[in-house]
Amino acid sequence: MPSIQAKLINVVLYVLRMKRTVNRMRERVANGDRTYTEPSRRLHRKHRISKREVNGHLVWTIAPRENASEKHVIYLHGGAYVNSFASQHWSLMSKLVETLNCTVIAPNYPHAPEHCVTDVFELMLPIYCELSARAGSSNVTLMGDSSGGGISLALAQRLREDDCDQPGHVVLLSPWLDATLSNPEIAEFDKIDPFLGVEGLKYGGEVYARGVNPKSYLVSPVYGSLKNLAPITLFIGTRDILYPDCRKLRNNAEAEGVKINYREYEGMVHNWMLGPMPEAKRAIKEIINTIK
Amino acid sequence: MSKSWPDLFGVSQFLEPFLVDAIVAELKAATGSAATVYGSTVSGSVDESVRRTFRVKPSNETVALVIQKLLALKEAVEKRFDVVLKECEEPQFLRYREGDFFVAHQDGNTGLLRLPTEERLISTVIFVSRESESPVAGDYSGGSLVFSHLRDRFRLSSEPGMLVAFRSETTHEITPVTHGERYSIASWYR
Repeated sequence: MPSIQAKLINVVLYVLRMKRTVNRMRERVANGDRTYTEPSRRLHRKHRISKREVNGHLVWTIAPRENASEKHVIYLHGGAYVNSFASQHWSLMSKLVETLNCTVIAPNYPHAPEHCVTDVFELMLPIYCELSARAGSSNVTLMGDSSGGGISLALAQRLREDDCDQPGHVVLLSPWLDATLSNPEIAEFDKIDPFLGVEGLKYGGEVYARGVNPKSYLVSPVYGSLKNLAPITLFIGTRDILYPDCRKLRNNAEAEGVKINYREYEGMVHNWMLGPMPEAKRAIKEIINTIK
Repeated sequence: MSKSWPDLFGVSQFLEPFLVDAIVAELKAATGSAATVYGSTVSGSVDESVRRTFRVKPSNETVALVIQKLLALKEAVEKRFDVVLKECEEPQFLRYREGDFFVAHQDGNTGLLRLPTEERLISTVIFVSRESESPVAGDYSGGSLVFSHLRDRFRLSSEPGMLVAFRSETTHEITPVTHGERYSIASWYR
């Protein structure tokens, strides 16, 4: 049963007609209306924040002012592959730094439609390899929400294919696991999801795949094997069009004999872990205990 | 990290004062375009959250003169860094206006990226205009060349005509210019 705050957020999403906004993704991208935020002044005061360029793209580092632990989190933001950081992403990353004393690496990875999946991996592989060589792969967590969750899982799969060391953990928040949204169950959930819409997301998935088989694991990691990956923790709500594919992933894991930490929250919307609600606090606490 | 970090090779008055004055005058009058960053698009793209500066086009004679001087220095650079160099890239003549910057980056030789710029072994920066701590007419403030490695940072004090060379994998940045216009010439030995 969702908390009052979670129910209230559902209402706000309806009032703001969020689903309509998401479904107008193609038009918004054409008009240059895309999300991009940077860390606030408050965050700069709180943490040691720096930025650098890798492969033509901006990569942020958010570290504690002192006593940084060995733990590192590579955080891949969501945004349907076309948007950059939203303010909620910075809040979540700040919480991780604050509670874990870890260092968060947050790449502003290449976005579609200007870039595609191959560009994302051209950036992410060197970032991961450099960091795991420096910090030790077991100290690195791959974490992402929505499209960033899809990229995180695909990156772990790609590392396995390349015989590279796995990270310590993979944490997926409402991950988008199939860019084609071809799961027939999605239509039912589209009726009750107040946030995401199939139409808008399909556009994001198409432009992200651009020429690469959209059902390859790199684009849609639900089609890839889960064997020999780092331990996976997955959070999802049941009022999310991405929920059926998360359930599919859990079933795939069972079929492959792989154990994943699957956390399903009844009645919760997309990316609820980033919102101001008790469920999110609980989830973050669990994530922190996992990474610790 | 070695104790000698950052490993720099400096040549003061690489460009003689009369040449500095002539080049500044030429660059002030020259046209150009926004400088690019190299990455997913191999030909380079403009991303003003990463790099905001203007690449100016001086005369062919000036470009040839700088290349000639860089090639004349090649042997000393090879000896200093114990590397074998083939050539130097066509220099980029850059104008940084107030607010312009280039975030921390490596120029090449990282061993991680698949870019033509990876062949760069030694980077050089030639300072053309004068840096001042406080705003002075004709000089610039901010726009420092800063080297960084984890928590360590080193800000280089520059003077007009000076060249500094460093290994291309060294992380460095140009901090935002706070006053005036900063002119410099960047090139890379491969």
